[in-house]
Amino acid sequence: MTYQHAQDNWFAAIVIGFITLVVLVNILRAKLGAQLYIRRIPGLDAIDEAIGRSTELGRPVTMIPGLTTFGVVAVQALTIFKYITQQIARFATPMRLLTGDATVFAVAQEAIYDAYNEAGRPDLYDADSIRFLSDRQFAFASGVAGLIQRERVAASFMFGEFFAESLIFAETGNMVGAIQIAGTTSFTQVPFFVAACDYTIIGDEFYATSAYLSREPVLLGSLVGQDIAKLLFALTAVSGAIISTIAGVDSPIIKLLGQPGGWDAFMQWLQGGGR
Amino acid sequence: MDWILQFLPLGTERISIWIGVLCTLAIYSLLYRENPIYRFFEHMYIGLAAGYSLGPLFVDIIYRYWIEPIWVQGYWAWAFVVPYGMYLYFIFSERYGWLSRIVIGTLIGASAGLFFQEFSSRYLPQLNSTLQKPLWVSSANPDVTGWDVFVNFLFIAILLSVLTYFTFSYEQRGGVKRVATVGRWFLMIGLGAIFGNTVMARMALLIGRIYYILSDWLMLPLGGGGG
Amino acid sequence: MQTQTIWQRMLSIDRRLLYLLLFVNIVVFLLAPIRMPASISPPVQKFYDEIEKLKPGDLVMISSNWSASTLAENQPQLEAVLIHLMRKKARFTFISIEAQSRDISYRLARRVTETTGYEYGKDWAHFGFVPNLTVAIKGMVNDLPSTIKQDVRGTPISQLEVVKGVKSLGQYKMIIDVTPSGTVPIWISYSPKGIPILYCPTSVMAAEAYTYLDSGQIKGMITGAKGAQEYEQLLHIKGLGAPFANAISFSHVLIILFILLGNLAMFMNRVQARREA
Repeated sequence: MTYQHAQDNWFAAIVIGFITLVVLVNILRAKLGAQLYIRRIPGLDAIDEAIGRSTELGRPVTMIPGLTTFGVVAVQALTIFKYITQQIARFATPMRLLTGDATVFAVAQEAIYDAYNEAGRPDLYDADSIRFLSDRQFAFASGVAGLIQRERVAASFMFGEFFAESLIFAETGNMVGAIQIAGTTSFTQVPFFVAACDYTIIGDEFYATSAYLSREPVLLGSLVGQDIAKLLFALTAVSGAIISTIAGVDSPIIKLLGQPGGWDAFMQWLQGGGR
Repeated sequence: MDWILQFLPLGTERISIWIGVLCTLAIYSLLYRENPIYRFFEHMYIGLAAGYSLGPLFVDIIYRYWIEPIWVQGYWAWAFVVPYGMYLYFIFSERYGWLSRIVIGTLIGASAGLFFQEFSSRYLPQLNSTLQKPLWVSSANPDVTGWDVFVNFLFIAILLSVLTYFTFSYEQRGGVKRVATVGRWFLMIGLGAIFGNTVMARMALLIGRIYYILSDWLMLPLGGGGG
Repeated sequence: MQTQTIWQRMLSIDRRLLYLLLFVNIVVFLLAPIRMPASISPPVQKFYDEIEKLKPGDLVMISSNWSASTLAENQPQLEAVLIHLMRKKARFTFISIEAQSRDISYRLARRVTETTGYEYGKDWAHFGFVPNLTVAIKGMVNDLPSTIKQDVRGTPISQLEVVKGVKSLGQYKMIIDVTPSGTVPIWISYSPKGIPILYCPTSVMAAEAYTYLDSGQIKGMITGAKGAQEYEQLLHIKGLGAPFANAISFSHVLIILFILLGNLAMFMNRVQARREA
């Protein structure tokens, strides 16, 4: 079932090429100034409310990108944290950003410094408020839980990739009465966030949130391109189910649509070689 | 008397078990309330976790893949590899921070390139399996039953409604919004099932620690015919 | 002072009491001499059937990435899998993506293989730990000896009889991933064509693996301690899966009781508040 090379199924390579092209075209459109529409995610109102509450209580805000290694998810999480920092900079609310990856830590320092700068409050930036605790899962979880308890945080934002430690964060936040907003692409952790947090941003909404907040052309264009890809998959699923019903699940057309070796099987069938 | 002699920390293995139990109970003391013992062991755990990795990292990675090929096998071209990777540390420098971006770019470029294979191997077979869902009993699929057809229709309905929920480039109104709401309901049902599975996993983590205390430390025999 | 009703008292129970009840429940049912039979689920049966297809001498790659924290789920799985592989006279090699899992899996394999006469280096080996699984798999697909170089004891790969003549991961007959983290998508994405992949996740990771099972990308799955219990039953062995599954089952009963009582208390409180209003 594994693809090693494009020739394993040329049709799959063409589809991937098409999706890549759609994403790149939309990024180009966004860069050229086209107003790409992204609907507002309901979770964004919850973020503003959480910031307001922690300002009222005078207790810190924590931002946790989880054990995310440096990549797409981490960059998007930091985009959201930049927005949050710009909001809290207006009220001089203290904050803590706790990371479990050294590269994310280094990039986060830059991102938060830029956020305070853009908000006109570079004096509020404190390098000690961004900490790398540990890259070991439960060591990181212990450190975060301890800090949330000691500092009695008022708002906790968890955006990124999480694993088993997610419920430890959410429960500890609950214990100190913090308002919690979480967003993750780790599907297995979403139920915990849904149960324990005040608002949860699920799956692709995470990417939409960072695109909506930052309005960066690359993020906007990617999101629009993804929507087109989803439409393509939906149409393929429906038409494939219809073809399976009429021609059988072993039909060469079905094999062409995603199986390694499907292109060769389809070509053979076209040339009259049977199934 | 024998049991007591075996129980006491009178050998290296018993001492390590006693230390393990002490660490376990100290961390679990957070469940009672936040306390200095928890804090001490929390900080010790973080430091230990960082330090523990250094040894195998040097032996299994640095020595195996860098020092030995260069010094023992003579592949001197590899000499640039670790210094190149260490450019990442320039991220802490304001003046030379641009050097770290070269390394980050290499990492991101490599993972972007690998992602094409990952996407194909991981998602296209799943798409293909989605297509193999006949929506009617017919001679083209003799093994398909009425129940299979019902399940397949449900599958396609859930797939389309959840995909609709996760679209963002247009305002969801009217019928589309209703379909997206149905998708969210199906999503929540799925999340509930995942939650149940995960509760099982969490219980297992706790049971693992209690097993360690009962079996390794207190040397009690387990029930259930096991252990 | 208004006295609290039973429902209000129930809702304000100190959570530490609930933790204590859970702890006592688990201790009692870990020690209790109860042996509950398990019904074999289809993923576990598929796992068993796939290993039954192995022939003597077939080479299996075991990716063992768990550490002490997930011992209750992954240890009985790995022990049962090793026993089955040794019954089929298959050879196996280990690989890990972290230091602790390297040590734990090596010690466990040494302990289990000592009882059956399996010899290290000849019948099995441990390749140590690799920091990046994607790069390691791609490297092993192209050139296994150059990627691994030496085993966990420092012996060069060329001197290990178990992988004599093995140039690529493609010469393996099976891959088994025993892990609490999401490493199986990496195996699915980069492993050679045609090699069946079997999966032993913790319960939390099982949920997202059902799509891979449905599509045939993984051929079988043992989920957590419950799956280990079922597998031990298929193999007719006494392992840790059964007592752990016992404890899990009865702890679930307690949690369901807590949920029912908590929801009942909340509901009755609301009814009472409406009556008083």
